Amino acid sequence: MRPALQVSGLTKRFGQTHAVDALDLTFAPGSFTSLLGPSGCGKSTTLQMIAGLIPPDLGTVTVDGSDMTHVSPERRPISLVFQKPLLFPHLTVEQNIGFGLRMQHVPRAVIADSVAEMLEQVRLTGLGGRRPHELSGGQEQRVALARALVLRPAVLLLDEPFSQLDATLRIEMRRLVRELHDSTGVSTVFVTHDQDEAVDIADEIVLMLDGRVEAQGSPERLFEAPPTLATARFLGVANELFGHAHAGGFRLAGTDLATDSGAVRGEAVLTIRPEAVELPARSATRHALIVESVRFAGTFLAATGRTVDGQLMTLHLPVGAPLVVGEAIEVGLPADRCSVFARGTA
Amino acid sequence: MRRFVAITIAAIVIAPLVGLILWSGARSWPYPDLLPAEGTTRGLDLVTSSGSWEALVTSVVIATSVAILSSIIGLPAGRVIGLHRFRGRRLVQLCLIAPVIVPGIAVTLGLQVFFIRWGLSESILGVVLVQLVLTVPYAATILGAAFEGFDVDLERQARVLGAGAWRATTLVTVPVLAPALAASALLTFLISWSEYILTLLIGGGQVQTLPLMLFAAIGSSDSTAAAALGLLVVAPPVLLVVLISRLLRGRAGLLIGMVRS
Amino acid sequence: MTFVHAVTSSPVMRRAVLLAPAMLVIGVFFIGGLAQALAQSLGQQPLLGDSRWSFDAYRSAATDPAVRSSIGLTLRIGILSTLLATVLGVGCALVVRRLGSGRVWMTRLFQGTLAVPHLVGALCISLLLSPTGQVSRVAHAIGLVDGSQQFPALVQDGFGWGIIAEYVWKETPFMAVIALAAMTADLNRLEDVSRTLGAARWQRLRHVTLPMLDAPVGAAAILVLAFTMGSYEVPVLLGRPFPAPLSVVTYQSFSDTDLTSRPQAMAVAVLLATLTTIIAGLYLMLVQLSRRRRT
Repeated sequence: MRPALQVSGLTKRFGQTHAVDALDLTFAPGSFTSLLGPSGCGKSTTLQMIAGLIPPDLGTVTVDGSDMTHVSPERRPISLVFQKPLLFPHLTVEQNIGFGLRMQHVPRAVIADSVAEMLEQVRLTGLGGRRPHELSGGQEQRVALARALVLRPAVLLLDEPFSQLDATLRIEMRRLVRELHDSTGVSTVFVTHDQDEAVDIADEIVLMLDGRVEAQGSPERLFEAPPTLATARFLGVANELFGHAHAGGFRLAGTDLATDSGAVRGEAVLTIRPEAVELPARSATRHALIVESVRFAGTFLAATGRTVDGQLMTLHLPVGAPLVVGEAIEVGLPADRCSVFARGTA
Repeated sequence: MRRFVAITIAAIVIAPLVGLILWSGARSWPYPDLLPAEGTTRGLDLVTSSGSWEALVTSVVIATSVAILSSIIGLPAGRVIGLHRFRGRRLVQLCLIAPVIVPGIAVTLGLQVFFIRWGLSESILGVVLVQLVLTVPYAATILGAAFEGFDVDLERQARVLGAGAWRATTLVTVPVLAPALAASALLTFLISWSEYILTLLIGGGQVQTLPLMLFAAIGSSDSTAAAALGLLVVAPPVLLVVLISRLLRGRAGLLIGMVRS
Repeated sequence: MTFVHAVTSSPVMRRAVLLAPAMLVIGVFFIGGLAQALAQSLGQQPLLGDSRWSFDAYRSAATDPAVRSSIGLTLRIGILSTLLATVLGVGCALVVRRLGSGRVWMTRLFQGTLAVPHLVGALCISLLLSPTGQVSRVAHAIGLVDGSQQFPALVQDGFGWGIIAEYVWKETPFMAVIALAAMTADLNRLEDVSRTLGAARWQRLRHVTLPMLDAPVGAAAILVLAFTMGSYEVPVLLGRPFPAPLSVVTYQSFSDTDLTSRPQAMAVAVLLATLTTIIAGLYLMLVQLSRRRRT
């Protein structure tokens, strides 16, 4: 199947720094991909290059098989929703949504129908006559979405569209975007720096660090088996334990753990998410800790413990877990939830 | 292409001032020569004469007084416009925009007899007072806009930290609004500096400011004298704007942009 | 103490005290001045004994050819100058906005021009456009005219070209400064959005850029219109004594040695004030109307 969107060798330098460095990405028709990364990693620049607002230094942008690298943004079948709603303040909600169709000289009656349909889809029916300043933040961003989608673009780009909304509204908007994607089938690229948001909304995550793709895959895969230490760190793994990797597993503070160390040998790092640590231990791979602190964190207990060689481990355990500061416990480290990386790969 | 157009615009903007500079140093400039035939220092002598010096001092005194008084009067009014929402606010705003719309000459003609009766005509005080009609609306509007962006909690914070109302104003409000106050003072100074007809009507020709002197020189059809005086009138405000707009950055541009004379 | 307390604790009193100085200036000098002009135009003479109410001054003004020809000239100068300055000013801003460092320099140049007093502007235009001015000399040098007599009358002309030239020269930078100040990073972003929505260059200008400049440029245009209709020194230096705009006519009558022409001077002043207010009001209504039609 021909990809909906493909970028090859996409590069942008600002001064000496590579904002985006030889980026290769392919997006299948109907896909929903999250471009995840910390601020300044080049994800917004990438999006603007795809939209045509920033010319790339090198590389190509292809949409549905045709080269768009030198096509001006207004002639690309791509819509972009920005971080701010950026509604035209001099136009009503309806006129904002109909703006793109008007630019294509679509007859008024057709515009009116499409706008009414879009208003319903983003659940703003009845607000078409309002001005942008009469809307709430969430409503404004819905209008921005409708304005982009009414053009039936081949690709929909979203640049942290909900980062200025409060937490509950953000979750509601994610549902809406997902719903709109599923009903229209538009290939969607969603830029965010929030890993929870990326996991919640996308089928595929591309993690960008320093202008390059650090990791790519389904949310489950990236979280449970991060391919690199940097990925693990960005996704909030929290526990990094130093030890020795060998063919049979990983040696941590004198104890051998039967983990899959892959090709890593010698000085290495083992990572495990705090909530994957078991107490009482059920898995065969176990380790002794001295409980150092216990803190009630609402839905779980956040505890720390020290290994025999003094390394700190964080544990998230169910409320009511038997923990006493200063006492020894034996925790389980499920092999399939541990990842092993060579030291210095960060 | 864009650069070329911009350079053309700049040339058209500057061109009329070039003639002023050339004429100010020309002894004779017969038609149709493109450049003056002979130079002279007569213009320079006129500009440095005691008459010009006195007019310069009068202009500076009047414009400075107007600038200071306008800001003092405009500050409390600006506070009300910028921070308070009340019935009649639109009326107050209308009162402040009206003097900007209605020509000053139409307002001053009827006042002239009263200035004579009150003994204010032919005096610097009278000229300053009448010019306030033109400048107070601008000062109040600029400072009103500044107050709209002012966080009153800063004052409350100062009060909580032990400052009285007066010290909260002088130590917090005024410094925070300093850029707007500077813009207001600059703008009102410029309006006053350029003012001709109100000064003539109330000053009765006895308060001799630079514009009055320049007007007389233009009437005498001595182009050299007129051009030299013209340079003396134009140099201080232009230098002031270029210097201060640097200090105040882009924000002042809009405010200075309101200069009317 | 209790009085001070009462003043500062009641918001109404507090507002009144804060507004008092400004309202005093405007009440006494502006409203008082206008009221006096009106009273004196109706026959009240504050320093002379014989005062009676009459419309004589308006009657004589209505038949005076100087006043009659003046109204059209005042409107023509005001409207033409404002239109030209607005179009050219916005045009300049559109050219300058994407110049990079040039934008800073051009903005500074425009601001510098704003500080030039109109009196000096009038002198400059007269030196430039008079029959023996620089333009005439250049026209002679390139063979367009044989002598200063052949050069068209651009100052002290009946139409008011010299006056309009001065206003346009001074007010175009003003409009440009206002338009440039409205061309913010936010406007750039809105234009970017409109590009991703398929708006081509001219569509962006028409549907995004110009509508966004509408309010500030419109407000500035009112200021220019009011000023160009009421200024005195520019038309008196660059125009003819007859026909002259209302500001000049009213001063002519006022400075007449015959004190009986004072009421007519006041009548013309009232006419000028009324005309300026009406034109500004009409313009505001027009703007409101066009805004409503667009929605």
